[in-house]
Amino acid sequence: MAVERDFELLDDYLSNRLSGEERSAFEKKLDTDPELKQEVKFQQDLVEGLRKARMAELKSLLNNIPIAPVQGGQSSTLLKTGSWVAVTGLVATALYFYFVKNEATEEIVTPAPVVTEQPERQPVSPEENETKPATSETKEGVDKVETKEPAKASDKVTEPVERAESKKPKIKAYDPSTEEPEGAVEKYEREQFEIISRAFVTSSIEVETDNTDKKYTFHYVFKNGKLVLYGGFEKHLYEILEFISDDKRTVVLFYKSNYYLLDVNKSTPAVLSPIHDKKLLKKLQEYRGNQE
Amino acid sequence: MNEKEIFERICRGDEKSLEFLYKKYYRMMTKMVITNSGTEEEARDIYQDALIVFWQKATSGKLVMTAKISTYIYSICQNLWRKELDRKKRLSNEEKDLPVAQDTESEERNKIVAQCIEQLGETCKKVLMYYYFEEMSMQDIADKLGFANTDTAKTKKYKCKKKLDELIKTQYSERDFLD
Repeated sequence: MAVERDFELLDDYLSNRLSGEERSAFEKKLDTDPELKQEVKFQQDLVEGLRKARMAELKSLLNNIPIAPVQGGQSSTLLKTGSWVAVTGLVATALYFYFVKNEATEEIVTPAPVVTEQPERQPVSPEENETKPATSETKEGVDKVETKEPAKASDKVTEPVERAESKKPKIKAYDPSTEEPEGAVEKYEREQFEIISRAFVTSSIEVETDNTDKKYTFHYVFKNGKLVLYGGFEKHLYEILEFISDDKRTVVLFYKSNYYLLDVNKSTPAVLSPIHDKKLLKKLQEYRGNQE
Repeated sequence: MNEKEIFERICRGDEKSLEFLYKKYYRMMTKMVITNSGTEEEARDIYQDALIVFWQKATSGKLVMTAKISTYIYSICQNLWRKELDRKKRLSNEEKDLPVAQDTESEERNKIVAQCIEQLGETCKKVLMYYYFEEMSMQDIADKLGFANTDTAKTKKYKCKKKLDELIKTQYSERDFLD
């Protein structure tokens, strides 16, 4: 049995409380002391057991937290609507990776700057954008989580394997770091640009078209969360781009090579007028180009 | 609660704040997995794991937050999900050729450890978990468990650890795991 002093050192070693130097010194010592090495092996099992047990506890704590369901039934009605093109999938914004790379890689040193202009970049490949949320420490943490085998995880491995096989593990992303509104209120389109630049794109909006109305010929309105387009829209394909960035949401209609901003708070029909802001248009074109 | 407040509470091991965060970002984080060919269940699993990684980093005092919490958690989610996709891919490729070697002895050991942990009293368990998993400071452990001071926490930890050592060693020697 190791002496008490060693025991304390060992404990600090096991609980990651040693500095890099102390750590390597201790490891060196391990190589020359088989008895200590044996003890470490034993203690590692023990500590690993404690960690697993705690992880399981936390998992069950989280599992017991009720999560409010998303407004149900949308997707089935969506399919019925049919005459619109759903724009799904995340769009990897260069900005996101830009942020993550810079903030998260280096133990998150710099606060997220308020960016009004973004470099135009294409989504990066997974190897390149291997976002490291922190230094190797986090990696370690991540590995810890990975190595344990939650009961559920093993059950569900088989089913989605085929899908995963055909798909490269490429994570598309959006930037979630936009929870609070910007300080200064700028022009509407400019604001939307901000949101869009950081958001990811999806579409879960139900759309209805109405070409029977005499008064509204190229208008839109949001009714109970549903988008109603007035005019002869059926004949042509249109796309709804929905940008979600935390609590902010921006909806854009693409129709006949024009983009239209839709105000989700509009409860009375409003005329559709194309977007003029060049920068915003460019961004939107980028997004549409990125759809797979 | 603002970001800073939440983070500070998390650092002190406040589980209520963890619950709060969990709810707050649930949709945002699970969406990433779901839109990247994951099932809802996988998404939840990844998100929970990511949140626990975040929690562990925060409680151990190794995390200096200057970016938003969500950014941080999100990137962990991404990493975990990428790894999971890789793992599944490997699994589907190698499944037939390489049966996973079963290390029954180490499994047996793990089982014993888990059982012995269960035999500890609630406080003992908590002290050790906070010390080895959360890697909390003795001060935080004392605060959280209502000990008079850090010395009490230290003693408690020492005794509990000894007890667990003994429990496990007894079991091991019964099964000849100790050389």
